[in-house]
Amino acid sequence: MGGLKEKMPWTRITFLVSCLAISGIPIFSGFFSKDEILLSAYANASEWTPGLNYALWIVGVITAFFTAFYMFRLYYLVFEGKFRGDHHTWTHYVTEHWIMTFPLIVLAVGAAFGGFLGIPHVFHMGPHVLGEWLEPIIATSDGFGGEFFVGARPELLDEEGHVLSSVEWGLMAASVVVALAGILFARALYKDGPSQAAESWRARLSALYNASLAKYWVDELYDFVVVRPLRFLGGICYQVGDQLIVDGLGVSGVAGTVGALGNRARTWHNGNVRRYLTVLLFGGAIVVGTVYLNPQVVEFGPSKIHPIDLGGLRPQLGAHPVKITVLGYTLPWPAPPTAPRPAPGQAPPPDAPADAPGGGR
Amino acid sequence: MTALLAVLLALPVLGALVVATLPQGETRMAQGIGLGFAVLELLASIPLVTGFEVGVAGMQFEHKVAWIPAFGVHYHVGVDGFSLWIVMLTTLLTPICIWGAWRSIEKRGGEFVAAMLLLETAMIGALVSLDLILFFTFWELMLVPMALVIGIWGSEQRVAAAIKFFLYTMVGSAFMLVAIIYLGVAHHEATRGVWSFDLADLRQVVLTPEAQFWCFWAFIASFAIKVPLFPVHTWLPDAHTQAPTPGSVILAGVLLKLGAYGMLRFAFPLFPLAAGEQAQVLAILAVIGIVYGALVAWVQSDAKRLVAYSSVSHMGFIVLGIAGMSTQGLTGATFQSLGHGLTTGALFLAIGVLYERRHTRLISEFGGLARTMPIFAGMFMIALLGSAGVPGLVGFVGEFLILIGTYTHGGLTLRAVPVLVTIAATGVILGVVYLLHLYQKLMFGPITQPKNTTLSDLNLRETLVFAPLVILIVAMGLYPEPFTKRIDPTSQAAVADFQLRRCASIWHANGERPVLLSSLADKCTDPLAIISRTYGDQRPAFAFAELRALPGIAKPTPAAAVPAPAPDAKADPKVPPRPVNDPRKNPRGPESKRGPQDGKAPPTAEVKAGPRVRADRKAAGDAKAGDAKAGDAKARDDKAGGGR
Repeated sequence: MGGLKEKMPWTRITFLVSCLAISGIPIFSGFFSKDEILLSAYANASEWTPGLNYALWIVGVITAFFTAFYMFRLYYLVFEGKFRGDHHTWTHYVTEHWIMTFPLIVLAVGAAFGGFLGIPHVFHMGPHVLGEWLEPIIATSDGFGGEFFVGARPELLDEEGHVLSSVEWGLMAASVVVALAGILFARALYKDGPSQAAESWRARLSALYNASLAKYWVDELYDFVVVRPLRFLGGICYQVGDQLIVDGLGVSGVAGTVGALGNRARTWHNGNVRRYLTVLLFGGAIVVGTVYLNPQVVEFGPSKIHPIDLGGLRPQLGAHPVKITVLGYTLPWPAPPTAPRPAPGQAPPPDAPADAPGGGR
Repeated sequence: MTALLAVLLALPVLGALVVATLPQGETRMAQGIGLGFAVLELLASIPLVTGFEVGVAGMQFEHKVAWIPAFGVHYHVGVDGFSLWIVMLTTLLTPICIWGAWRSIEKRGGEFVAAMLLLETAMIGALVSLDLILFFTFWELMLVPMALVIGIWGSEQRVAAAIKFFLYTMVGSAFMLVAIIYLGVAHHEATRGVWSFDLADLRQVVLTPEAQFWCFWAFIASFAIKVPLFPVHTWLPDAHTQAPTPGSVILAGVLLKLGAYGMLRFAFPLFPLAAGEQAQVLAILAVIGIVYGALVAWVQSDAKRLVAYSSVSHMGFIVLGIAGMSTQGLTGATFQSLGHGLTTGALFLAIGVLYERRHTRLISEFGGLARTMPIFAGMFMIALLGSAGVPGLVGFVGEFLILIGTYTHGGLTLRAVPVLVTIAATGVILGVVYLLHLYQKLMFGPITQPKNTTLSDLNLRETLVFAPLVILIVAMGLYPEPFTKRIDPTSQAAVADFQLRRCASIWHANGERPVLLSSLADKCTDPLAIISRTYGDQRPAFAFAELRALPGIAKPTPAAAVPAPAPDAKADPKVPPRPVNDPRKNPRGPESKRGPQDGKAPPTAEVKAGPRVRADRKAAGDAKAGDAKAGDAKARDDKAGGGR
């Protein structure tokens, strides 16, 4: 780009107005807001941070300088000087159309004159329209309520509680001078496209230049601190957590175990009837032994555990060892370890005394 | 009107029968007839919404006919706020799926349509069943068509994925069946000889704590696999990746919801004591699933797998909402079920569109599609942002309700609930991360593959398939009230009823046999007082504040059966029964600090009848004599002998 003022006159004018406004040149809207902010930064001090107000003000002023500088650098590189693209691009530039220029003009008018909504007190030109605009919001947050300059240093105030005119004028002058300096500096370096001087400045401040070119590596920092660890964690979760542990050891482990057991068990089913009968014998012995030879079994018959329990022959467990006689010989079962208890059907133990804990309502 | 649900259940089966009897190769005709039946079903289901009475918490359109009288099994169906919208989602998604598969499934197209219609009946049946045997029948019936859809019309690894899906879910169902049978037996015992598997009857039975613990986990085993909850989720990515597009849409849209619905309808109401305690475990697993699913989704190279893992993450929210047992949380969980069904359904359709054109699902194969497929990019964007939970779209409403409900009014007693909810909220951010990552890789940037320059945009059929989903995603996000106002009364009643029967279970904590709720009802005039005294008010006071205001929970009256503090309860804290003394069941540990509650006698000391209480009193008396151990032993003895 460069030299586009010939091709896009309206865009250039509105762009210039907006640049002047954002740089804080008087009568443009940016001037008033910037002035207001710098003034309150300068005048409001808290007792916990003495001197901070001046430091903040200086930072603000330096930033104002850079704002003016980079905006006008942009303006000069785009609209002034000579076109730096090729001939084809230059001849095929689309002419301006009202559908784009009209909104630009509306915005430029606002940028130029919107500041008169909030004339500083020193001009004494009627009420400060925006001064009280946000007060209802600010008042709700504790400690910021009340008069606008509530934290202002008393030596900077006049009798009415407003900041002294001399201070306000002085600050205003300082910010205007700084903004003009930024504009002039940009003009000196970029009036006719990138100059030799701009190149030498860049070489002199190469460290700062590179840092700002890389956006101070904030994106890289986020990438390193947040994005990469989380993505790495996601990979671990998927490959180790899901594929190895849950699916590999868990699901496939269970399936594999069942399959392996099935394969082992399959070899027993070889059609050998003698083997089947042997297994049947052992199995039957285990079932009969655990149920019918269990020393805890008192009797067999309809369940007495509960009157409406499922019927059927269910072993009744009891505390007494049962005597089992095989061919006239009584098997020597050991007595069960539990103490004897009342036989089924006997009355339950007597109630606790009336003053038992938790008793009675 | 009572037969409406029967019509809804019969229509798809009829359609499936008609389609299945068509001659082989008549794919277009089969698809046309199937689509006709599905649309008819959708139209037939509209009276469900128009005839649904707003503000009624209980079942509507109820229909009860004896089925197996010998065991009290009924054909008993009905719809309430929890199931209404998911039924509607089912009837909406089925025609979309059949129409969406118009071109992509032409091999054995007739059988495919028949399977989808059968699946629709099974899903609606599981949603409206109010009898556990009936529910289980439909629950298992769902598996067969779905496994066939994956196994016949899926991608390369389809058979392995179908078997994995079938076995995985079958294992959970087996546990549930045992618990269902136990419930029937318990009802038989409690009522002294009446068989019933009807949900309303079973809810009148108060089980013992042990039975509740085991039955709860048996039900959860089935439902958590279906949801799927964190450690049992691995069937889902495989099933989704291998399933054909309509299979994935139905799987994500409705089948997963049935897991959450089952928790809501069965696991939590039937086993309130265990649910109240084990909900902490579920909530922790859900939150792990939210973050874990999101992280894993982010690193997927397969677009469909990415969306599958996003389901794991999103379903975690739903389980968290249910585990919280707050009114907002339950409404949010139901709403999120709808939202997830719509958004994830649309996302799977979108990936199906890409797969139809390029026969690959790898994200790296695409890029810059927004230029060649602008309509598709727009539809995809709305569905994706809806899934990410952007305010104004459907995903936001459900997630917000769940998070706020669980944080402020939840029934979780865990101290770490605020931390848990905060971690869950980070899942929302991670959701945006992986979804926008997917969108950026597919849609923006340069077109790297020459094949992608000639891709055709959505045709009219595909646009119309997407349209209802996209319209609903926006409409439900902007104006959720018609949906939530039909869910809310049911959520309120569910929370109140849950607290009431949780309280009854606490009174029955030392019982050995299931009893009827009516025998304990007079002790539960102020359930929250009893619950908070048993578990301690570990949550901020506001957690219980809203619950107290619920209609179903009466205010405490002076004459209410709030037991006075026993003078010597402190002397032997072991004697008064606690509902939980098994460390496995109580994440906080059995001897956790209860604060001032320690000095109060737990409610069960008040139960007048029953051998166990006599044992308690006896034991306490022994404790007074200074021989606590003997007392305990005696109590154990009595316990062994009691219950005749």
